[in-house]
Formats: sequence, C-alpha cells, structure tokens
Amino acid sequence: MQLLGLLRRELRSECRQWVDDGDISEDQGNRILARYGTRLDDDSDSSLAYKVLVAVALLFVGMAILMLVSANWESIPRAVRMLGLIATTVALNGVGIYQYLQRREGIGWLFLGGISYGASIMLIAQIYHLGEHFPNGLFYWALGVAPMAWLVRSRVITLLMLAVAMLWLFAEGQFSPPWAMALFMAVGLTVAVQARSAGLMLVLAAVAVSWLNLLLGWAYGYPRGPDFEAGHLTLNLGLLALLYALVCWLGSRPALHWQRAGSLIGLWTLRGYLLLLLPFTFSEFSEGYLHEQAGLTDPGLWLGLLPALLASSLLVFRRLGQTGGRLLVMLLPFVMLAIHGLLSRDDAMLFAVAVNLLALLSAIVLIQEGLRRGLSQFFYSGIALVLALAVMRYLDLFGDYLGAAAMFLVAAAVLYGAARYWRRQQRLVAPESGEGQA
Amino acid sequence: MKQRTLGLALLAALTLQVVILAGVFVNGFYPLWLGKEIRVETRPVDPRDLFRGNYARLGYDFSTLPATGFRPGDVIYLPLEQDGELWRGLTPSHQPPAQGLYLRGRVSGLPWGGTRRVTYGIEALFAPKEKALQLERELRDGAVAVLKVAPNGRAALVTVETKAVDN
Repeated sequence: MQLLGLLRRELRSECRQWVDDGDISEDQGNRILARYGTRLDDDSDSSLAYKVLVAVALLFVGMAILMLVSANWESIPRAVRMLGLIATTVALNGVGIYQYLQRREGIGWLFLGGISYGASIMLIAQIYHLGEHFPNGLFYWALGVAPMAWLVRSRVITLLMLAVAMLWLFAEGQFSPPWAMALFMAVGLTVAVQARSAGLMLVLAAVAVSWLNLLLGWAYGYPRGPDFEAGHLTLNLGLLALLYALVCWLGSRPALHWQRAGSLIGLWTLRGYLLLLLPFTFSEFSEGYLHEQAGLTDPGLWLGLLPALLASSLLVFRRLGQTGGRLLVMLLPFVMLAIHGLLSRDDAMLFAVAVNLLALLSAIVLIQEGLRRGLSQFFYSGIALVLALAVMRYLDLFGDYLGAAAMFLVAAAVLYGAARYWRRQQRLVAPESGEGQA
Repeated sequence: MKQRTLGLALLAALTLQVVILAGVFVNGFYPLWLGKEIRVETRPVDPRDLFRGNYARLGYDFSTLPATGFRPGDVIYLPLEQDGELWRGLTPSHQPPAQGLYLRGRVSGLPWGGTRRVTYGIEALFAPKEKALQLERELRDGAVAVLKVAPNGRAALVTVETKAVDN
C-alpha cells in the first residue's frame, strides 16, 4: 500500500528542504517524488490552502443564506420572497456556469448556487406552510444538485450532493427503502473516477455500506420499517471482504491515483475489520449474536455472501492480495455458512475463543507486515490490537483466571517475538548499509 | 464533451433546478388557489425546525390513528364531515372516498404505543420566533385552523384563529 502517497504535500515540503540544504539534487528530488505522483514544482500546496479557505468561506455564506431563510421575512410579500430566492439561485448558478465555460472556474459559485437552491426549497415550504413528508425536500435538493456535480466533475459539489442525499437516506429510510440512493451513488462514482479523487471514493464506500445496511434493515422489518438484527454483522463481514478485494485491485492498478484510493480505503477497511472483530471477542456478545441470527434463512447471511463470494472470485481470478488475506477472504463464505448453519448460542464460548485467536493472529500479521514493509500504520494497529485484547480480557476475565492468564502469556509472546524479529531485521540491514557507505 | 454541448447541458441542469422549485411551489400553492375553505379545530405545539426556522406546530384530532392496518410511509385518505361551522375527520382509509371532501395524508411514525402519527401538510405555521411563541400562548386554550382543501385531498394552511373569535 502506498500510504506515503497520502502525504504528498508533506513529502514535497520535506524534499524541497533536502534540495535547499544540498542533501540531494533537484533531479533526485523529482525522481523520489515521482514515485508518489508529484514533483518539486507542484504548486498545489498554495492552491489547496486557497481552495480550502474559499470553500469554508463559501460554506459560511451558505449558512448565512440558510439563516436568512430561517428568519421568516414576514414584512416582504410572499411572491417577492419566493422570486427573490429563485432569482438568487439562478444568478449564482448562472455566474458559475459562465465562469466554468469560459475558464473552467466558477465551482465556488455553483457550490453556493447548490446551497441557495436547497434554501429555496425550504423557503417555499416555509411560505406555504408545507409540512407533509419533509424527506421529499431533501430528495429534491440532492436531485437538483446531482446533474451539476456530474457535469462539472466537482468534488465539493458532489460532496454537497452526497451529504444531502445521506440526510435523505436516514430520513426517508424510516418510511420506505431508499432505492433512489443508487442514483446519487452512481453520480458520485462517476465524478470520483473522472476527478481521480481518493477521498470521494472513500466517502462513497461509506455511503454504500450505510445504504446496504439500511436496505437489509428493511428486509428484516418490511413492511413496518427497518429493523437492525444480528445478520447486519454478517453482511458487514461480507462487505469488508469486498472492500479488501477492491483495495487489492486498486493497488494493482498502474495509475498512482488508484493506488492512493486503494491505500485510503484500505486504511479504513482495516479499522472497520478490527472494530468489527473486537466485540465478538466477548463471549456474551458472541452468545447474543449466535442466538439472534436466524440460521440459513437469515437475509443478512445471503446479502453478506454475495460480496464475500464476489471478493473471493476477484482475488482468485485476478491473483490479487497477500496469501494470508486471500485465504481469509476465500474461507469467509464457508465461515459465514458454518456460523449460520451449524452454530447456536451453546457454542458461544468456542466461537469467542476462535475470534480471540483470529484477532491475535491478525495482530501478529499486522505487526509483522508493519515491520517487514516499514508501514507504521500496520505496526501500531497490531500493537493497539494486542493491547486492546489484553485490556478487554483483563476486564472480563475471559475463560476465568487461567484463560486470561493464558491470553496474557500469548500476547506477551507475540510482542516479544515481534521485538526479536525487529532486532534481527535491523542487524541484517545494518551491515548492508555499512557496506553501501564504505 | 464539446463546449457547446456542455453549455447546453449545464443550462439544462439549471433548468431542472428551476423546474423542481416550480413544482414545489405549485404543489404548495394550488390548494390555496383551487381549494375549498374549511375550518377545523387544532392545538398548537412548539418545536423549532433546524432548517426552516421557527414555527408553531399544529396538532389535530385526526393527527393520530390506530396503528392497525397502517404503516409509516403509507398514504391515507381522511373523509371530512361538516359539523356546524367546523369540519371533523371520519375514519381514514387507503383509498380516496368516492365523493365528498377529504384530506390526503401520510403516516409518519409511531409517537406512542398503539397509535401512529399522520401528517397532512397543514401542521406547520411558520412565523418569527416571537410571533410563534405569542401564537402558541394565544392559541393554547384551543384554536381553529383555516384550511383550503383541493379536490384531490391536498390541503394548505391559510391561517390560525383563536377559538373564541371563531365561535
């Protein structure tokens, strides 16, 4: 994973300093930075600061518009109020469109136009005292912004659309399955691909996971409303596997922006995996999960199997990922079937022991990979996982005192083994560097 | 995309926004234009809408209904019957009545055990904070909402009067 690629700004700054100090030549600096898709004379640092400041300023202007709307302009006639806001929306978007067509600028105006458009919907609802089914207002807002985001391929306008669409997702999701979210995700994906945005890809992954969880809630609760059941955990296991496969696929792409997207999604997938794993290390939680899951008829199982099988196929046929990760993903569909088909609450202790061992194994792999590949994120995630496991087992006295003592001993062995491995690696590297210098 | 095509597409995107705004406006306005004026009893309550400013929220006798047979998101039709100067709601159903005035509403949730809340689009009387609070005080002992109800059941809130003035 090209984790350093996520810190290009810092890399540029460091490299410029090395060149200024005479430690490396300009050509060497450029060659180093080229590995991360940037160069010494890349001036996006200053433009980034400018863009962020302008974006925040525009956001405040947008909030001021919302406050103005909220202030109820009682003294102004209804028609004037309404036409005024519509005219403002048209004017802001008009200026944005003109500037975009002339110089490929004006995104700020279009962003502001998008906020003004949403505020207009609210004002009209306010003027005419519309109160029925407020999620519709959010839907129309996101719907109106979507084509603009798609046409100008703007990340900030797409984020506005996705933010409003997420509000709609949670509001409408209480009344009916929010199928139309697929439209907003499709627009977001198109912009993310065209604008080569790793951040937008990560946001889209989060939106997709939320959407699928809500749809599964509807599968459980239809027609009353969404219910959240144990099967959601099974679904998220499958989704994590798919995200892992996606990360491997992105990492194998030649283009650096895809690799960066893979790194960013990979980091959060790793965090999601660890967060999902930890609760299952408690026997009470595992017992609750095994008791609540509805066996082989559980919709969570089947909706989770789809991404898990897709991930397995992707990893096998395209020969992606590390052997350990690939094996884990390939086993996952069978594990999911076994959990739902064979296990009951009576097997909770056995299940929790297996998850604890898996967590420990994950920690070992993370520490090892962190040391081997020099990835501090992996190394510290592994250490944090071991420490978290130790603290949790100390608190809940897993398997009584002897069980906890055994867990601590294993954790100590892992850490000691990691330390020894690290020292051995350092000794192997040191003579080589010495020779190089000589 | 060619510059001219892009320009036209951007104009179309802007037009879509204006069309949606016009649709929201027409949806809110046409009951006021075409609707029959009726008066129904109401009670004010007082939340503040984060997005849309201050308003007095109005509750009606027909704002809740038995949970049986209805679920959140369902569209329901409430037949109306005149009782003196005021109108009152009858038994709601999933189909519009063949004749007579009725309100179109949507089941919005489960406020407490055994009942569901229904919104008809006539629950929010937007006003500045001070005016909303004053209205809430004035109308605390009972009020009459003046509505305009379109032939398809869509309703718009015209104003709210004190019950004493009306009676």
